[in-house]
Amino acid sequence: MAATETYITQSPDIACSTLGDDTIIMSTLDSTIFVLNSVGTAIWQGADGATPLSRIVQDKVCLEFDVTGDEAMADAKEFVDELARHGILSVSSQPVSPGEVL
Amino acid sequence: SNAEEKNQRTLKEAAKPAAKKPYVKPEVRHERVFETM
Repeated sequence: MAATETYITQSPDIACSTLGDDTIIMSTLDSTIFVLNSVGTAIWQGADGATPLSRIVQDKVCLEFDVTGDEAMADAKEFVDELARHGILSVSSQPVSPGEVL
Repeated sequence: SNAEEKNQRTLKEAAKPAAKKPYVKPEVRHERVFETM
């Protein structure tokens, strides 16, 4: 059986900006500010709802950083779950078309 | 010649794969704006 892919989408209720290698995200729901480090930023930038997480890790994290695919993928899953808990990222098993809100 | 040697060196350097950045675990820090203020 094929493993289920994970698709991630940035929440519409945020404003974000990149500062150096980091990304600063502000939730408009509760005025919380989030700061992502360089690897977190690479994952965040790939969160377009159409690219599977495995591809984001392969094309962005593994190409740019000195890490194995397995380690990067395990960390990315943990990271994505945390962002989803904070409500700034949506996680889906299906691709999300632009403008579609989960 | 010096120019040719320099050109060869430049070509070799361009052919090298770009060095990868050291990996750090992806992290998120967060805080409330009003608390910061």
